[in-house]
Amino acid sequence: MGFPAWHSGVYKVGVQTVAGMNILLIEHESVTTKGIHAVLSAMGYEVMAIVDNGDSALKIARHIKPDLIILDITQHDENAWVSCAEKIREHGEIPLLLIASDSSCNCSGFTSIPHQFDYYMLPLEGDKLQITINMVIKKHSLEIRLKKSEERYHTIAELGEDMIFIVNRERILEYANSVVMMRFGSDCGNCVFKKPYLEVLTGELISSLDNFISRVIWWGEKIHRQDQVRTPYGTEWYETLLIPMKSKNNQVNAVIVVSRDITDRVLFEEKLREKGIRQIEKNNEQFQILNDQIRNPLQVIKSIIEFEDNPFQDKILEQVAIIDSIVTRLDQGWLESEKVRRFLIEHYHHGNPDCQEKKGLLSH
Amino acid sequence: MDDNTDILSIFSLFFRRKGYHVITAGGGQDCIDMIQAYVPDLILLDVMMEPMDGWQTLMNLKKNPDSCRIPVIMVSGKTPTPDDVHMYGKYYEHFVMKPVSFPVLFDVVSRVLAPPVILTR
Repeated sequence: MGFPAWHSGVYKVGVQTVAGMNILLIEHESVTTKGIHAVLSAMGYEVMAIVDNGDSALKIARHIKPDLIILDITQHDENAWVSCAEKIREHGEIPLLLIASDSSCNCSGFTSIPHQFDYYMLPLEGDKLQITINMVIKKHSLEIRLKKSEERYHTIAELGEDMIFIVNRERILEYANSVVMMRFGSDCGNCVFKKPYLEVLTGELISSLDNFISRVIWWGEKIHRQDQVRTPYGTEWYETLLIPMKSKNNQVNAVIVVSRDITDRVLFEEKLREKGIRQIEKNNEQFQILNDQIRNPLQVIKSIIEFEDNPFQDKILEQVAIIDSIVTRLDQGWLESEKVRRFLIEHYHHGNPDCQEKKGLLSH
Repeated sequence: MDDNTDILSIFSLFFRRKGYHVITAGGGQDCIDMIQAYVPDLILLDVMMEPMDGWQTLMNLKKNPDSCRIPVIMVSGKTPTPDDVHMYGKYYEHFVMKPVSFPVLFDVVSRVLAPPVILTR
C-alpha cells in the first residue's frame, strides 16, 4: 500500500514569506495536516513545500534546504511512512519530526518510533509543538556536530598503523579501530559496547596492559610503557600509551589505549648497538696492536743508539721519548675505551666472545 | 722471547755482552718446546704475539712442573690493563714497558736473578 496516485510528486509549494524557519511538510491532505500547516504558519514558520512522499521530499529539499521536515503519519499507510522516514533519516542532513496520533500507536511500526524518530503526539497545541520543533532542530544540530566530530576522530584513529581501542570503567570495549579488528578479528567491531574487552581482545599484550588500564582508571594519570611479548611468530615489542578520558568532575570514564608495534625499531636498534660495540672492540684490538707495533721499532732504535757512541744520541733518544709519550697517551685512551667496552658487555650483553674466552683462560 | 726478530737480535747482543748465555724463541710454542730440552734461569717474554700470546705462554709455562719455577719478566709495548694485572700479576716477576733502556733492563734482570735476602734479627 502506498500513497494515492493523485498525490505523487509535488502537491503544493508554499509561497509564504514570513520570516522564520523553513519547513517541508509531507502530508496526506488530511484535516490534521491542514491544521498543522495553519498552526506552523501562525507561529511564523515558513512551510516552503508540501509533498506526499519521501523521494519527492528529498528531491525538493536539495533545492529549498528546509530547517525541518515534518511527516504526518496519522493517515499514512504504515509501510509507506516507515520507509519515508527511514529515507529522510538516512539522508541525515535535515531533522525530521513525525506527527502521530493515538491511532498511530496501534500500528506495529510505531513501537520503534520512540527509539528511532522524534515525534509529536496530537492534539495540536501551538506552544507544545514549537517546543518540540525547537528541541528536534537543536538535537539534530548537536547530532550533526557529534557525527562530524566522530568522523574526524575516526579518521585520525585510522590514519596510522597503531592499535587504538577504548575501554570504559566497566571494562567494556567502547571503540576499536581497524588495526585492532585486523589483529583480533573483525567480530570485535560487533562487540563494541556489548562485551568486556578481555573477552574480545586476547593475548599476552592485552593481559599485561590490563593491570595498567586499571591503574589509569584508578589514578587518572596517563601511562607510557613498553612491552615485550612472545607470539607464534617470535618476540614482538609494543609501545603503548594509556590515556584517561575524564568527565567534568574529573572522574575517569574510560581509557584510550594506543599501542604501536615497535618490533622493527627495537631489532634495528639492537643490531646497531651490537654493531657499534663490535666496532669499538675492533678499534680497541687495532689500538693494542698499533701501540705494540710502534714501540717495537722504538725499542730497536733506542737500543742501537745506546750501543754506539753517536753525537746525536741525546737528540735521538729525546725524539724516541716524545714518540713514546704520544703512544702512552694513546694507551691511556685505550684503557678508557676498554672500560667502555666492558661496560657495554656487562650491560648490553654484547661483545667479542673470543676476547672473553681468552681472558677467561686463567679463571680455571 | 719475542716475535720481532730485530728485538731478539739486539736483546741477545746486549745480554751476551754482559756475560749471559742467551737462547731465543720467536713464539710461544717455540718457547714451550725449548723448555723440554733446556731450562733457563730467566725468561723475558713479549706479550703481543700470534697465535699464542705472551699471557697464554706464561700460563702454559706455569702449568708445566718443569718450567713453573722459572722467573719471568714480561716485556711489552702494550700497557697492561687492570684485568691483566689482576689475572696474571702473580705469575710474573716484573713488567717492563718498551722501549726500555738497557741499564734499566739490566737492573731489573739483576734484581730478579739475585738470591733472596734472608732477614735475620
